[in-house]
Amino acid sequence: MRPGPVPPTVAIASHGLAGSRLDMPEGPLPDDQWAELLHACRSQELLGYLAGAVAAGTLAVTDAQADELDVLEAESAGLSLLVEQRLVTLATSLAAAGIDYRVVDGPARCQLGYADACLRHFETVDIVVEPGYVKLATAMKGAPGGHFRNTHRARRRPRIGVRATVLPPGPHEAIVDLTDLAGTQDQPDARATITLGGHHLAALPPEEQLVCTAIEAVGDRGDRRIVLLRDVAELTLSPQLDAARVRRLAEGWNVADVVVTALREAWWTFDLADKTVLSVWSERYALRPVARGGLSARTARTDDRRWSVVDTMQRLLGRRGHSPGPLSTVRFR
Amino acid sequence: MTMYGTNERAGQAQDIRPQPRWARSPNVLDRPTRQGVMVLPPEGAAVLLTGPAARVWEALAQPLDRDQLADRLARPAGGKAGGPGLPGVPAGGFGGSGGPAGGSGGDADVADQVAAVLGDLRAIGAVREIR
Repeated sequence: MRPGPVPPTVAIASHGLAGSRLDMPEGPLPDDQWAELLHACRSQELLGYLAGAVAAGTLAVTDAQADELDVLEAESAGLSLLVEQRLVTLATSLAAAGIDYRVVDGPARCQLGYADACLRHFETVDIVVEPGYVKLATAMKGAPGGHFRNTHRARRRPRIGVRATVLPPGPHEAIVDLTDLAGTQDQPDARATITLGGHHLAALPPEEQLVCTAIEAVGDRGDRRIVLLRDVAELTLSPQLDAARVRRLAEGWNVADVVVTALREAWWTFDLADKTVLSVWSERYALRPVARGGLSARTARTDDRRWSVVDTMQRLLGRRGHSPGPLSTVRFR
Repeated sequence: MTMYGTNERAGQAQDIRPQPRWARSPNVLDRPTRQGVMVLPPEGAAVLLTGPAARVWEALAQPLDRDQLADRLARPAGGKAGGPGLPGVPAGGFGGSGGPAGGSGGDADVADQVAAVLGDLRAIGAVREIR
């Protein structure tokens, strides 16, 4: 069992998560605590979970609080749609130009990872493209925020990050040949498909998403730490997930320590009772000694080539990394 | 080619014009919420659909004519408790009364509501008629 008091945001983030033993705060909360919770949930992309907990009756609220939440949930859902709208425009343009891409998170996370898509709101979405096309894709993406500025408050506007990254090898072998590196038999051109407004978009499969999310959750997490850990738990508990493939990816990309750390943290944070192949693996896995802490220390630098992959993954996810090479990370806020 | 007229042999006037079907407009994005369904047409702002509007939108995952829509919406939301339905669409009857529409004099009401909802959805560019 998780010791100590559970922060309300963590309890909210556990709503609907199978096997979580966390208790919801007892409501209705006093107005000052409610305002604090609402603010925290807005800034941490947790409004969907809060709305879900209230709708399910697991968190009691007053009528006024329910009305306030309704407004904010609708605004947040609308913001997610604006992100999707921009994403569709960009993805369509990229496809027309013959530029391969993958949607990393946002709607891809909702459609491929979540049992209940209502829960996961998002204000950003990242896509990955072939390194040589980052600048072009960035130009096609347009200015950050753009004409949506007037639709919602300027500080909360949809963002699309375009990142050069590790794509599956094969057609993209000019980037990083992961198959050669990892010695795995993963599909060389793994992709999933999501549908938005009748458009089919290429996305990272859930296994790749889990590895990427784990890296992000263990790194510089900021406000999104809890929701990223929820993503890790949700993806891991997804019945469609190929656990063996996740392990191969994590070990092949040389980020097994990071994935294990994220899994352990997710299981502890949400006090999950359920055991899965991956959670058992994470319990038994012997983490390497961490000299300085942090993500870089959790990744082994066995050789330059492997390191370049880890570095690339970090760069993919907005972490540190300034190694030379053709890859460049562009992220817009 | 549109055909219309009356069925004289049946002994009573009967409009045999094929009903237009209704479909979601292309490029309209949607997202379920706890309150209903949020839709974002290509032009315009996001709109939250609740109650009958949400159910019409849900039903229009496949093109339907008005009669088919009315038939769908005369059933309890989601078909049956725990049955298939768009996540987040509030359960309850058509019109938000908490029970299924239909029954005494309900068919006409449902048809009227379907027509009104379709008009509203078309006005925001969310649905269109197809032949």
